[in-house]
Amino acid sequence: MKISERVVLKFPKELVDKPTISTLVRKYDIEFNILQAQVLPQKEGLMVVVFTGEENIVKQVLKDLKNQNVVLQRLKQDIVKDDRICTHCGVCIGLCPTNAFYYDQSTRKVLFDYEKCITCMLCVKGCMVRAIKIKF
Amino acid sequence: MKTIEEINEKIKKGQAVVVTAEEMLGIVRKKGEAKAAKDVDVVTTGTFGPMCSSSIYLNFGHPAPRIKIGGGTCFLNGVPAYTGLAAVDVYLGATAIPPGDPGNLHYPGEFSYGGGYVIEELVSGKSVLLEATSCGTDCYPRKEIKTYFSLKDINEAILFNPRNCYQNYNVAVNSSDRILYTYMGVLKPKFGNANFCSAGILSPLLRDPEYYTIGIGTRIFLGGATGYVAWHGTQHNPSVDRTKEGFPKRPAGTLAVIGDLKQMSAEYLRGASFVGYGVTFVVGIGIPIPVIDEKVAFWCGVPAEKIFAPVVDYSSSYPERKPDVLCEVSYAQLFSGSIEIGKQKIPVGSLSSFFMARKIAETLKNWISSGKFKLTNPVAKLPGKESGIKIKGFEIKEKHQ
Repeated sequence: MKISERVVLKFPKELVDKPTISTLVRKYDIEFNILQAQVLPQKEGLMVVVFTGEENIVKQVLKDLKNQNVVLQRLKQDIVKDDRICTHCGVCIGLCPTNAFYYDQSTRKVLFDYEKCITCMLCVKGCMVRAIKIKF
Repeated sequence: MKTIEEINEKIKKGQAVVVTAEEMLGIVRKKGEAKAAKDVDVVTTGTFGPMCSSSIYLNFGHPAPRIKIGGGTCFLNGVPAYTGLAAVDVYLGATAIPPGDPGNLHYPGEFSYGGGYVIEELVSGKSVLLEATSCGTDCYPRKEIKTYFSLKDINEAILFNPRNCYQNYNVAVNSSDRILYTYMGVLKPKFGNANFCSAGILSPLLRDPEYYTIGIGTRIFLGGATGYVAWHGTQHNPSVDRTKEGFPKRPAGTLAVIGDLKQMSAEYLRGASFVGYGVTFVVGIGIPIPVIDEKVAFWCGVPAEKIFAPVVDYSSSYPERKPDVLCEVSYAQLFSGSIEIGKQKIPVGSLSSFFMARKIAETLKNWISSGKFKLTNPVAKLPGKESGIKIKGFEIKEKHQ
């Protein structure tokens, strides 16, 4: 069965200058889409990737990454909107490129659909009460 | 024609008809303004948004031995408070930040703590660290004080906001090719988003556009308690262009408000911060509008489609203080979630919470219906368009004149 797995990859400093992803792609012939990347020399790298392929292949890819000391996290656990803090202003709605934030039209509360989130993190910067947090 | 006294008599007897501004819009549309004015006694409004010109003043009481903080230094949780008052009175503004804060040194700065947060902590009952110094005098010998206090320990804590409740405001966009960090929030390049800040048809001064009932002394909902309109707010600018219904097409009237912080609730007063800009304070205000005649009902019946806000470019026009406006958009468009500039469709974000504005209008409605909150006649009118008051620019002069 074909699956899509969205993961946040945290690369240790030693791996940042190595072609980790392209090596994997050649090795496993897997489809990948980089949603976001922050890779700087001598710093920890961060990448949000969607791997699409047969379930067992995707699992092998993730295992391979882990063996290389890449820290993995499933994406949907990473952006969190704390409803105890949120005032439901909706400034995040205008910022979000994928419409992951939206109003419940009847209550005018701001809701978050994490399946749509690509962790661009604009909302984290934009939220004036810091209700949106990123967890790596 | 109804008087405030007659309406208060009805409130006392539990017979007053009180509706929110949202409900009133529907009533006027359905019944017309004459019937609506007859049937409804009070319309409640609400707004909940960042309002930087907010502050508190405190009187701590006197320690033994006494200290004259006045003229000395004072920090509340590390945030500087103004001491140029009597011995134990200090003033703290929402945007104050600790002296060690890096500001925008590492752009965009975090601005993770400041005056607005101190006020929120006080109002939620938490204790705050007071550190003050003084030169010491014969009558006030103590030279320093370091103590924790909460609101219950001190004499007075007054919320006083020199400018709140803006009547209409700019819609902020960014035409440049870099992201901007502003007091109107994060603005994406190339018109990537548009931010506005108003409760629209629930906003107090957008239901009383000519300051017909709201004036100095008007009793209001402020931060979850009772407060008052103290004066017109700073930058009050009533003489801007208006629609034929009387609604300003630019930022116009403002209110200075005052109330007892000890009675208020952290649900309606929140410390906040704009990345790259600074600390601010989110304030919840609700103002009752007595339906004294058909004119009031008429204004309450003007829908979002007929109220317009200016779209301003925050990459050039705003910082350079140019009067340019890209276009005007209606509040109906803003609340629809996107506006159009030229052929580009731009997603809209709101800095003001309509959810909270509605909650405030509902709460105030319940207060009035239950007889807990009575209306007041204003002591004096706010300056209107006939006053000739116009906002001034501030020109640089190199010599005394």
